[in-house]
Amino acid sequence: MLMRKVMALSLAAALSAALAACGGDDGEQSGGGNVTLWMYPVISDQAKSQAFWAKVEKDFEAANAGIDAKIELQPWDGRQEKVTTALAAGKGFDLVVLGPDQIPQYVQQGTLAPVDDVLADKSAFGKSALDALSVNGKLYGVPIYHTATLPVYNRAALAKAGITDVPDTWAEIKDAAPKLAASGVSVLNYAGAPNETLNLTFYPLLWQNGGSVFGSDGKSVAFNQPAGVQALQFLLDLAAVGGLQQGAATSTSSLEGSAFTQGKAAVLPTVQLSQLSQIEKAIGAENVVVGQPIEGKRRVSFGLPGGVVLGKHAAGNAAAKKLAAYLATPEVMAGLAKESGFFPTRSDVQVPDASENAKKFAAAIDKLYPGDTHPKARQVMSVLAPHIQAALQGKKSAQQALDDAAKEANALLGG
Amino acid sequence: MTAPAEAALRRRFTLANLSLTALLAIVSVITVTPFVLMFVVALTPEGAPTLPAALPDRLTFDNIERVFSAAGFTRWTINSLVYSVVSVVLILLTASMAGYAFAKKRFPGRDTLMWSFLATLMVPFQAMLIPYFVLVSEMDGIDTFWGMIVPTLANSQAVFLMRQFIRDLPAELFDAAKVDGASEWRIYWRIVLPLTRPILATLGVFVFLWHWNDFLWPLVVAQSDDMRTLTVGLATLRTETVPLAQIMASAAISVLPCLVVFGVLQRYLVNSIATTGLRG
Amino acid sequence: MAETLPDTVTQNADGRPATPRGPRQRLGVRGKAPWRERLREPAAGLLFVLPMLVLFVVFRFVPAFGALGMSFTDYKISGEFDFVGVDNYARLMRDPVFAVSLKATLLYSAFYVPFTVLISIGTALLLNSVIWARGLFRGALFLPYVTSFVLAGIIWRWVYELDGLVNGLLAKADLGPVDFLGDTTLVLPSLAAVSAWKGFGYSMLILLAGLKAIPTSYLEAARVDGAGPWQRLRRIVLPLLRPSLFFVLVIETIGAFQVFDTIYVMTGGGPVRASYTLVFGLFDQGFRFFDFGYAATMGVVLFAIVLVVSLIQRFILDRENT
Repeated sequence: MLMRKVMALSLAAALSAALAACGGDDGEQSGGGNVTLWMYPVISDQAKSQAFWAKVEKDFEAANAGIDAKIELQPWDGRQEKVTTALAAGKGFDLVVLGPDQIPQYVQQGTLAPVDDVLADKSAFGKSALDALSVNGKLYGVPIYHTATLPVYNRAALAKAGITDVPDTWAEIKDAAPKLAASGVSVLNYAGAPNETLNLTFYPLLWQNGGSVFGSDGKSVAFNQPAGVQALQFLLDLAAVGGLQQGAATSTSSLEGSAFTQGKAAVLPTVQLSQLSQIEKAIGAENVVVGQPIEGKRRVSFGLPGGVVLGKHAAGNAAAKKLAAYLATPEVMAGLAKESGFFPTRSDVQVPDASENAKKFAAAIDKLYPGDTHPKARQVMSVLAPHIQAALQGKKSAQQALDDAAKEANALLGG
Repeated sequence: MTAPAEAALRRRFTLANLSLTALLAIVSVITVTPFVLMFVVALTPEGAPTLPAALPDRLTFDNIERVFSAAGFTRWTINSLVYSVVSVVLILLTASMAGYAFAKKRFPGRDTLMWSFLATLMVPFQAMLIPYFVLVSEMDGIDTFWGMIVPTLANSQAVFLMRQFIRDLPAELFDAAKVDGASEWRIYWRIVLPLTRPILATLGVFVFLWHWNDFLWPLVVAQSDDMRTLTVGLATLRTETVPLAQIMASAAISVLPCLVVFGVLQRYLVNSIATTGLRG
Repeated sequence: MAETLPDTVTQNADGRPATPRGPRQRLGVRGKAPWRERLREPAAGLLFVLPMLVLFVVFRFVPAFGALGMSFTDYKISGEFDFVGVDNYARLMRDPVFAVSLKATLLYSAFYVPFTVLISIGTALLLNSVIWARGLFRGALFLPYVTSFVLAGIIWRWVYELDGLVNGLLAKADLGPVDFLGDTTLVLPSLAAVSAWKGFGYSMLILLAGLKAIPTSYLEAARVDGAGPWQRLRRIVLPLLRPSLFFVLVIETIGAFQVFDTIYVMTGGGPVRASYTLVFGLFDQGFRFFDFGYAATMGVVLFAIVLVVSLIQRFILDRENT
């Protein structure tokens, strides 16, 4: 009893703060106000990134007299800790950029405010982007860009094995594997390290085969159903004939030093437009072929919208909502798309001076899937990844690995 | 060892010394090589072949310059210096005071207190980050220098280290001072501090390094651009497609001040406690 | 004025001086002086600790108790929470991943601690006895401690990769390839080696300072008595090095149990959770899954384990001195 009291007190001492902080800060003003946006380096060239956001800040302030806006570039490293601590204390940003894989969690934690009223007219936005950023029918993120991934091929490596058409279906990839292996090249470059997001590795295969991570009710997982088992078996079959690079089970997604950039793998399955220049430098621009999403039972690849979300502590901040709306205007969106290599989420925005490859990415936008939005998506991923690793290392069959993972995952979802 | 001992050693064990030196040289190769590799990669021109596959055919300062030219570079460096240097001074002072008391003073609850200090080191930082942050936030310490520095002063390793070393100072010194009627503060200031100079220098090097390289705490506590430290600032340049050469250039730049501090404090590290006036 | 020197300066077991009698006599006021004198030492002790004590109470004890409190709740980032009793602890006991993490942590520490302590003692002794270029060597050996984990991660991946440095050498001897980071039994010693490489400079410098605190006269006397280098090491150096050795052992053990960065940059907890250590799991539960109550529970349990281990170390190594 005493113990309980002591704990309650110490908790209160350390944490009551958060409650107090969340309540206040309702500086609702019609004209002026302050707003802080935490932006992440989605524009890979740092000089361009700084210049672009400085200009956005200036233009916004010019158009909205009396508002002091701050757009601060944050590092990717430690993003979870930084955003989480800021929300816990109700201090830091009003707006921050998050992906649909994080939003449901933060909503469940009671830290975000809906932004339905920010977008007056939602008709210009792609439905899939809006859905991905919504939780329980409410929009929590203003979609300002959309990422896209496509397979990239090494033309020279394929030619050496006598393959002229890029293999972009499961059957063709399977077919190409032994031919490429004969010339010492693996067909796929697969990143099996457990801290890599499965969205870029196993999940696309699962989706291509018509499977999904979660059951339709969201209370159990579905990746161990036949579609998932076949997808993993597909990888294992490739591995058996030398179709995955050496050490695939522990490879990271880093381009530098990867089998693909060293010419030892023919297909890099999920590449973003912004990575192309680095790949071109590594294997030669003439050898880079951007494909369309790989087809199993259907053609699909991974891509997700980036949303500007509003902290609950800033729910009453009119300036924040104005800035969020401003970021979603066609002009800003077109500029961001051009600088970042990501894509606009509005159908009425044309990206200026798009390259041939950029157009290929843009054309794939309706074949992109952002993954199942589920508050426990990350837990499930971290449960599944080690079991896939075990299968890739030959310690478990596909069925067994996925069943073991499903058992753990379902325990999480039930609890 | 002191000079006469060295002389004696030199006379007797020249061969032994040669082999010891050779052994040290081998170990040093293992510790220095990665450093050299870092600089080689950092100086590789963009897109040129580099380690580990091949040696670059020419070197350039482009990567280094690009890091230097980042908009906030000067500001970040100043912030890092403030964070590190102020922390070093304050920790050396408070930790040596506490270490002295734990080592040489008898007072109720001394050992319990010492161990409860040490015990806080056993709580994983990630586990208490939220309450810790909320606390500092409640004290209005977010985005301020004091909020960044003061919480890090409670450093168990520093206190524990000082205590372990002060404990072995001979009692005669303190007794003599007490007999002379020296105040407690004077004993601390005139006897304890000078005698522990080598260990203070060692601790100073460590505290500087810990703060200079610290990432997580400055990241979360310094929210605005103006308060950012160098480690955090350099991390903002690390986009998803940043080349390895750029990463290495950042690493090389942020490591240089650490080398300077180590170099400067070297001569204190060399002094043994025995040569600072305490001959057994 | 001639002072009355204390007739004997005695020293009790832990090196503290017995209260000298001289000054008390000098004050000469009977009754009051002994009382003030008796309070002088504890009062001075408390005053010297006070600044640190305040800092620790506010910035360590309060958050630590906050975390302890959290472990009995279902704390959410918004600050809302309900008490859930010992649910989190019950869950932890049932959690197979926790069992795996605990095993990985213990194994890692079993590799790392002896490895690092031995290297640090070895290099410290070498540095202390070598005559030429010792400043240079000291700096060279300390370099890894100065470098970042990012660099360590990149370099050591080159070393461990299937077509990396070590496997290249092994291939020349017609051995291998060995998948250091992909093999569930090899991964922990491989990671321990990285951490040891990165971290031994710290313990080395402290032990070096400890070596320098050993009065040369002791060693000279032993030499005169005909003790060889090995005997001097065993009978004089190591026993006198005990305070710093104890420090190094405790600190390295605490660090080993909290290993995070090496794993983060090298394996991400893999393969197949073979390096999914406790703090790695704690980080996942807290900052990736937002289950702060559960993460705090893991923190409390880890704390209890490390505390017990440290107290055992104290019992063995530092019994008569603390």
